[in-house]
This record gives sequence, C-alpha cells and structure tokens, in this order.
Amino acid sequence: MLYHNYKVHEAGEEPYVVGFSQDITERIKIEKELKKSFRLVSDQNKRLLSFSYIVSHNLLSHTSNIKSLLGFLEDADSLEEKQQMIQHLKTVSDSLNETMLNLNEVVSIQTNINLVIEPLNLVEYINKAINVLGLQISNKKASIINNVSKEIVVNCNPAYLSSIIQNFVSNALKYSYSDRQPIISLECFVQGETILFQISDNGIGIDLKINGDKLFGLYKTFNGNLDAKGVGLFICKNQIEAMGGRIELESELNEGTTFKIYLK
Amino acid sequence: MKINKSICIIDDDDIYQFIVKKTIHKLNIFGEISSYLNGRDAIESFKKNIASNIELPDIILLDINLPVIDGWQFMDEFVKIQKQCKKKIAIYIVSSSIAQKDIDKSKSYKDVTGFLSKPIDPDTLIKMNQIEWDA
Repeated sequence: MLYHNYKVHEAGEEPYVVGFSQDITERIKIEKELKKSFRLVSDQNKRLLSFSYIVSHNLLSHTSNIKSLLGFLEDADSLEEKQQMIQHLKTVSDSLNETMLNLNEVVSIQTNINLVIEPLNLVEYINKAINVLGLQISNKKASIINNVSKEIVVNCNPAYLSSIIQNFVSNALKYSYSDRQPIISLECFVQGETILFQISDNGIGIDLKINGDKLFGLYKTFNGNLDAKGVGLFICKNQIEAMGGRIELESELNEGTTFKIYLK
Repeated sequence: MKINKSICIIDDDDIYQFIVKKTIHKLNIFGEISSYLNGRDAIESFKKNIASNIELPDIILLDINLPVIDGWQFMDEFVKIQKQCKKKIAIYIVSSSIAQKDIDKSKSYKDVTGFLSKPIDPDTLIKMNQIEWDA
C-alpha cells in the first residue's frame, strides 16, 4: 500500500488532513518480474558473449594452423615434406573435429529449453556412477564414502545428473594425491528448497587464488596433465545451471577439493 | 644492429609451434630458437639461465591461453625476473583471441611490446628482427 497524507490549513478555516492510499501490489509485482527477466536476459547475454569468444578463439586457432600448413604444402620442395604437412593437416582436422563436437554439446545444453526435469533418487544415480567408474576406482585403490541418505530426491535431468556425478568422481580420481589413498566422500544437505550435494576428495587440490576464475572455463587446464582437456567442468557447470542449480568449490592445495552442487 | 636475434615460442599448441619454427627456419634470419609448452616451464628455465649467466632470448612470442600458468601469470612472474636480466627482451603476445579485453590487458603491461593475431605473418617476424633496442 502506498500512503500519502498532508495537512491543509487555509486562513480562517478549520485545519484538516487529506489522506490518499493506493494499492500498488500489482505494480511491485510487475517491477519484480521485470527485474527478474532483466537479470535473466543479462545473464544469458553474458553467457552468449563468452561463448562467442570461445567459439571464435577455438576455431581461429585451428583455421590459422590450416592456412599456414597449406602454405607450406604449396611451397614444399620434396615429397617427404608434402607428406609431413598432410600428416599435420590430419592432426589439425582431428582436433578441429573434436572442438566442434565439444562446442555442439555446449550449444545443446544451453539451448535446451524443453529440458526434461524429473524427481530422481540421488543415491540410485550415485551407485550407477560408481559402477561405471568401477575399474578406475579399483585401479586407484580409492575409497568412496557415500553418506547420502536413501530418501534424497533431486529435480534433475537424468542424463545430466549421471554425467555430473561421473565427471566429479572421475575428476577426484584423476587428481588424487600420489602418496595417499584417494578418499572421496559424497554428502547431501537439505537447505530449505535447495539440496546441497557435496563431493569432497583428498587430492592435489587447486590454488584458487591463481586459478579460481578459470576453473570452469572451457579449455582451461592447470596441472600440465596431458589427459586434461578442460572440457568436463565447463560442461558440468553448464548442465547444473541449465537445471536451475549452481556450483561452488572450496580447495586447498595439496589437501583436497570440495565441489558444492546446489540442486532443486 | 644485432642480427640473428634469438627467439622463444611459448605455446601449448604443438602444430602452431611447428609452423612458427618452420617459418623462422625458412626466413633464416634468427639465431637460436627455443620453445616451451607452458608458462611455468618457461619461467623456471629462464630463472635457471639467469642464475647460470646464460642469455635469455631476445624475442618471446607468448600465447595467453596456456596450461599450468597462463600468459598473464607468466608476465607477472617475468616482470620480477626481468630486473635481473641486463638486456631488453621484446615480448609479443600472440593469440587467436579477438577479445578486446585481452588486447587492452596486453597494453597494460609496459613490458609487452605488442599484440599479434595468429597466424603470424613472416613479414612481422622480419620486422621484429630489425627493430633495434636502445641499450
């Protein structure tokens, strides 16, 4: 309600008070809606802009290589040199192809408006992921501690949930500390309407001061590990956000990392 | 004028490294060529070279998107060791990035000589070799 009062006192007359009141519930509701959609649009805009940089950067690095290699191929003096250039062109073509597949996956996540979201039993999906990663887990002699209660239900897309759990557990295995047994613990806390799903490891950790803002970027790698392609976390973050969730992390170098996934 | 300047390529794309090296060999105007796949290897090797009085390269071609420590982090470290190094080193940021913020950021480092887009033109390399530094 909007209230407004003022006093009127005209000469020779009794003073009186005039009061207005107006119901502005609708107006406030509309303003809130407007702010919400403004935030949504600016978020989307930011994501699109950063995606367009990613696309142009990743395509340009391959196309400029192709251009240079073709130049060498034309000027090649020997058959051997020609074959060498063709070999390199094949390598570029393969990585360009892989880049396209990755970008395609990101586009399909970001543009999936009719994403199927359904209530899913979290423990069931955790067990499935542990099964799939069985060989990796036993190779690393890792211990997985699952403290998630059997009743927890999250509203997610089944394929995304599988991919997210698998990605984080396999990351924790990949970046384990060489001198100690990898321990990965899974926990879950209900916080009002959101569910906090936490995956902690005792691995090599990451220096957030140096790498914090790049961690979820595409093609960002940190450890000089040759298997690292810098795609997994970027895809996971996009999948979590597409389901209306968000992700945070805490990490201590040489101690371990905790990924906090907020789901609905 | 010093000819045959030594040149160092810091880039994680090995095809690109091959291309630049081949271009440099073809031009036949540069001295020693060295290369690193990430910023940390480069910085560590430079530190060792300074300690054992080995000259650092005259020209560095630096990529931004690098694993372990990226081009900007390399620059932050390099500024610290640059003081111990007696000669002027020309650093060119070489990227396939077209983001204006990267170009602006490269201007904010006074030790960065220039920003170049991939692929590098042979003529640009020739010019780099010809620029004379005030001692």
